[in-house]
Amino acid sequence: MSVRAEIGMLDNVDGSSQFVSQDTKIICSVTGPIEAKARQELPTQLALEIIVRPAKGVATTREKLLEDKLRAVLTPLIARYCYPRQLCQITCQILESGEDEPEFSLRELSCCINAAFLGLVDAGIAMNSMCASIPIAIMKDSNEIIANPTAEQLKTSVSVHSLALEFVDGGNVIKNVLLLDSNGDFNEDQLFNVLELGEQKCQELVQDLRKIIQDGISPCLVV
Amino acid sequence: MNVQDRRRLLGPAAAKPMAFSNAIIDEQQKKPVNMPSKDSENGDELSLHTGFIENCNGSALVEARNLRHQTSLITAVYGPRSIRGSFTSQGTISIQLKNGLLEKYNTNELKEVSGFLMGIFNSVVNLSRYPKSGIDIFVYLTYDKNLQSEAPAGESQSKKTFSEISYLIPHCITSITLALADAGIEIVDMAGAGEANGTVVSFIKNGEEIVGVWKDEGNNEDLLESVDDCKEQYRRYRDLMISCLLEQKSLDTSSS
Amino acid sequence: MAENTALETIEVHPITFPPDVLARISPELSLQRHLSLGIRPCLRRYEEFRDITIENNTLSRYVEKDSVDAKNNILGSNILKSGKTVVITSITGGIIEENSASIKDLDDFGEDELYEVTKEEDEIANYASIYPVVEVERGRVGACTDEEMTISQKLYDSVLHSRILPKKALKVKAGVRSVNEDGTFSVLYPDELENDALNETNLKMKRKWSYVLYAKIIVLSRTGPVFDLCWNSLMYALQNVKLPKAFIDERASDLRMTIRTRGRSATIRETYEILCDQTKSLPLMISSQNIAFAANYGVIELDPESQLQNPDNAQEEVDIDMDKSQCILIADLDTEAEEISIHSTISVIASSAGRYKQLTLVGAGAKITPEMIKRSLLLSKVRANDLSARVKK
Repeated sequence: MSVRAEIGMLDNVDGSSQFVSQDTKIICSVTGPIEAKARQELPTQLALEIIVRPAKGVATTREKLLEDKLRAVLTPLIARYCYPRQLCQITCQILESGEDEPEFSLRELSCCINAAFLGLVDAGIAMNSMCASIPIAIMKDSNEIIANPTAEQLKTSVSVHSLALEFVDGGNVIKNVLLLDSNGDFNEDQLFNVLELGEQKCQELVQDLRKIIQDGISPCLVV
Repeated sequence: MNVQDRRRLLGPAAAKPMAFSNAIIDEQQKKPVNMPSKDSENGDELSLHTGFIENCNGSALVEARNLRHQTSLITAVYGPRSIRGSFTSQGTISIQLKNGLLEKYNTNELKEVSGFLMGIFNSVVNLSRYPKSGIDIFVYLTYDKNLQSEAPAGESQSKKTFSEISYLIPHCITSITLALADAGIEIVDMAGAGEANGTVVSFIKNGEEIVGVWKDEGNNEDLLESVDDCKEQYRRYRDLMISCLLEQKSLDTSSS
Repeated sequence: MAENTALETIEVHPITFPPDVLARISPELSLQRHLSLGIRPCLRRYEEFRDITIENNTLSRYVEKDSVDAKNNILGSNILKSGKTVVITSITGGIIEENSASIKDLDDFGEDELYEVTKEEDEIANYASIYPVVEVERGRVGACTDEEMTISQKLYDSVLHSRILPKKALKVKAGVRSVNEDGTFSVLYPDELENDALNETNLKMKRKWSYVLYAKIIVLSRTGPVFDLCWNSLMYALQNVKLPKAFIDERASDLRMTIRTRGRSATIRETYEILCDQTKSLPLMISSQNIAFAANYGVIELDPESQLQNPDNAQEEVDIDMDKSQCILIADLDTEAEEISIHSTISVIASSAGRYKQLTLVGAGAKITPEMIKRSLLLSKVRANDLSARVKK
C-alpha cells in the first residue's frame, strides 16, 4: 500500500483522520452536524465550513484556493439534504506538504481530499458515494505519466494534475469526475492518458480506503 | 510573501515600487497631440452615459476633458436596500470614493471629498421617502490625467493636488446625480456644480439654492465672482444631464 | 365520509408567473424551460460565446508614441468588455534586488551554463508570475471576498505554470548614470553599447535586480463567473507591457564599505536607489508561444419534466421518456440562473496551437463525459484562435 491512513485518533471531535502519502502528511478533523451560525445556515441543506491550514506560516490565498477546490469535491459527496440548517466543519491541517509550496499544491490537495473523506466517514455523516484522489505528473522529455509523483519529480514535470473520482457500488463503478485540476503544458491525448491512468490508480486507492475504514470499525462489530 | 495582508497577493516584501528619475524632459517636446481645440466652449468636453452596470440599481459614466485635465469616473448606486439594526425614519446615504488605477489621491483626501458629497446629497435626496433603507454610492475615479505641462519638480506639490481634486468634484456630483436618476431614487432637483479657482459651489433649483461650497487654498478675493462662474458651469452641466437622461429615456421607450 | 366530500371539492389552480418573475423565484425551472427551446436565458445558443471588445494600453504611461505620461506608473493595460461585464486590468511594476547567494548569479562568468544546469533540475523555477489583486465590485465595503482571493491565486498559479513569464525576461539590465564634465547627466545602458567593448567592461556590476510585476484587475458589473474574463484581460495587458530601463549612479555601481560594529566588521553595500528611466523602455519579452486564452463551460442535464411542449404537436410528444435524460454542454456561462443551477463546470485555458495550459473540471452535478471534455477542448482552441487574432488589429 503506497499510502498510510488512520481514522478516529482525535477525541474531541466527531470524526478525524490522518493521511500519509510519501512525504505529504495531513490530519483532518470533522465536527458536525452542529448548529450553524445565522450567516452560514442554508434552509434545506447542510452548510460546510472548510478550513485548510498550511504546514508553516499562516493561511493565505493559496489555502483559500485549496479550500475552494476541496469544497467542490466534498459538496456532491455528502448527502446534504439529510441535515437542513446545520453545519459541518472540516479542518485539514497540513503537517508536511511534501512539495515545493510556492510552486505546487497538488499533493496537498489530493491528500486533503482523501483525509477529509475518511474524516467524514469517521464522523458518521451521510454520504452519497465514495471518493479517491491522486496527484499525477507528466515528465519533461520522456512524457512519462507518473501517478503520485515525488517533490523531485514535480520539479522536472511539464504538467501536473490532481484527479478526484466519485465511486459507487463498493468502489467498483466510477460515477463521475469530481475534480480534475491540470496546470502546465499538455495536449488532448496526454489529458486522456492522465484520466486513464488516474482511473486505475484511484480505483486501487479507493479499495485501500475501504480496507482502512473496515479495519477501523471491525473491532466495534459484534460478530 | 507579505505578512501584513494575507488576503491579497502582494508579492515579495523586499520589492520596491518603480521610482522614475526626475529626468528633465523637454517640456516643449511633450506636447499632447490630441489636445482638444482651444476654441471649443471653455475647452470643456463632457460625455455622459447611464445604466451600463448590471449588478447595481443605477450607474453613470462621466468622461470630461479640457485643457487641463482628462477624467473618467464611474458611479454605481446600490439601493435603496434594507439596513440592519434599529428602525430609522429616514434613508441613510453613504458615498465611497475609490482611487482607480492610478493611486493618485490619498485616503484622507478622498474621505474629505466623500464627506462633502454626502453633505450635498443628504439635502438633495428625498430621504424621508426611504425609511429603514440605505443608499450606497460608489464613485470610481477610473482615470484622471493632468494634461497641463508639469510644474517643475518640487514646487508646492501638495497645493497642486488640492486644486486637482477640486476640479474632480463637479464631475463627481454630476455622475452621482445621473446615477441616482438612473436608479429611480427620488431627488428634489438635479444637483450640479462648477469649479473656479479651487472653489466648488454646488447648486440646485436653477442656481437659486446653494447646497455645498468647497474651498481650497488659492485665490480668496473674488469669491462672488467664483460663485457666478460656478453657476454658469452648473447650468451647462445640468442641461447636458437633462438631455442625456431624456435621450436615454427615448432609447428605452423605442426599444421596448 | 363528510370529510371525504369536502376534500373532493378542492380545486387546484395552476399559478402562472410572468417569465421575469419565474426567473427570480425559480431560476432552475426558468433555465430548464429556456433550454428546452434550444436557447439560454441570455438568448444565446448552447455553445455560443459572448463577443468581447478590448482596448489595449489606453491607460499606460506609454499611450502616446513619442511622449510619456510622467506621473503614470502603469506599464500596460487592457479594458475588456464581455456582455455587460467590464474588466479593467492595469499592470504596474517594482524592482527587487536579487539575493546574490543564489547560485545562478554567483558570477557573470559561465552564467548561461549554470542557467542551463539549473534548468535541467528545476523546470518551473525558471519562470516567474505576476501578483494579481482582483476586485469584483458588488457595492460592499470591507475585506475581500473568497471569490476575489481564489481568482487572484488561480491567476497567479496559472501564469506561473503556463510558463509565460521567463525569469530571464524580468532581469534588469541596469545602466549607469554619470555626471559629465559640464554637469549634465548621461546614462549608459549595456544593451546600447554592444560594439563598445571598452564601456562594456565598465558596466559589469555585482548587484543584480529583477522587475516584479503587479496586476490590478477591477471587475465591474459582474453577471456571472469572471475568472476567464480576468485571465483574458491579463493576457492582453501582459502582451503590451513595456518595462522602463533602469539605472543607478556610477558611484554606487560597485561600492562597498567596511564598517565595524562591536568589534565585528561587516561589509555594507550602499543602498543607492535604482531609478527607472522616464522615457526609455523595452517591451516585456514573454514567451509568446505560451500565450493562451480562457473559456468556461457548464454541463447540465435537461430535465424532461420541465420541457415546454410545442403546442402544435403536443399530442405526439406526450410520451416522452421521463427517465431518459440528456446532458448538454453550455459555453461561456453568464447570468445568475446559469451560475447557480449548473454545478458541473469545465474551465480551459488553451493556446491557439492546441496546447492546454490549465484545465479545471468540477463534476458536482451532471456527469461529464469524455465527449464533452473533447468538445470543450476543441471549442477552447477555436476561441483562443479568435481571441489571439484580436491583438494584431
